[in-house]
Amino acid sequence: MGIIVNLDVMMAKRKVSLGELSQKVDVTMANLSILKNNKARAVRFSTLAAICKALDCQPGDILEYVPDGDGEEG
Amino acid sequence: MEQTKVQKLARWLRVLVQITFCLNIVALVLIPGLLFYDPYNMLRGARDFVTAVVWPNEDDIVLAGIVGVLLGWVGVVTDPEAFHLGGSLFLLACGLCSACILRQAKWILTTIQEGNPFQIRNATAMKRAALCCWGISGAALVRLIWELWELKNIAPFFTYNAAAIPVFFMGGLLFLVMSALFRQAAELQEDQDLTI
Repeated sequence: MGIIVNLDVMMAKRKVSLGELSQKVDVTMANLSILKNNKARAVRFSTLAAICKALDCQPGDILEYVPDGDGEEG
Repeated sequence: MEQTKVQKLARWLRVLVQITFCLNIVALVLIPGLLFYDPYNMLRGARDFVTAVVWPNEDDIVLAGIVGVLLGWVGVVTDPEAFHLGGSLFLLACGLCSACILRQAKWILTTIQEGNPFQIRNATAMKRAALCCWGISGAALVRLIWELWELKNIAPFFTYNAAAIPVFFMGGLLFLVMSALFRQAAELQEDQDLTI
């Protein structure tokens, strides 16, 4: 699986909608949606910092590493 | 939205490519007829053939033109020697390949004009253009070998046909390199688009 983005979980915990977050971090809703749906290839540190600031959390709360199911890891 | 210099250039080039493509298609249709009129000087043959079909002193010049073109195609099948079947096939192959190259160019220029040139489809179009270049080069090589066999001297080496072989072969290689570059650029563009 690799890196999973748990942005939707944190947004639910903080009760923040996608539109509100988009305004706070100055990232378009389309791009936040890509991030939320795990379609993103990479995240800039500046974006990550802005999201952490807006949601008052740590990068680890948003990103999670899940090993591949090939038996070599985990 | 303000167009960049590249986009403006692409727009003009696209118009020229479009005109050339149309002329290419017209020339394809006229091949047997113009070879019948003058197999050694294509432009003179084209002039004589077009003059003959457009001003034939007939009442209906459109019908006369269509009949003239059709007669050329019928003639190339029924009387291959008089209508130069070999030459017609060579020009037909080259004409089809050049039409295909122009079509790919039109597509690529359209994407440049839209400001989104780095696509996998453009890389595929360039690969197709490379194959068409090699098609022309191969057809010219076959013609060169045929002429060497027929004439039994080295005169065919000093013709435009012989020069076309390396030129189009290298053109094909260039298109292939461009195709690989565009593929790489398209992948980088995708990475960039998916970096939040």
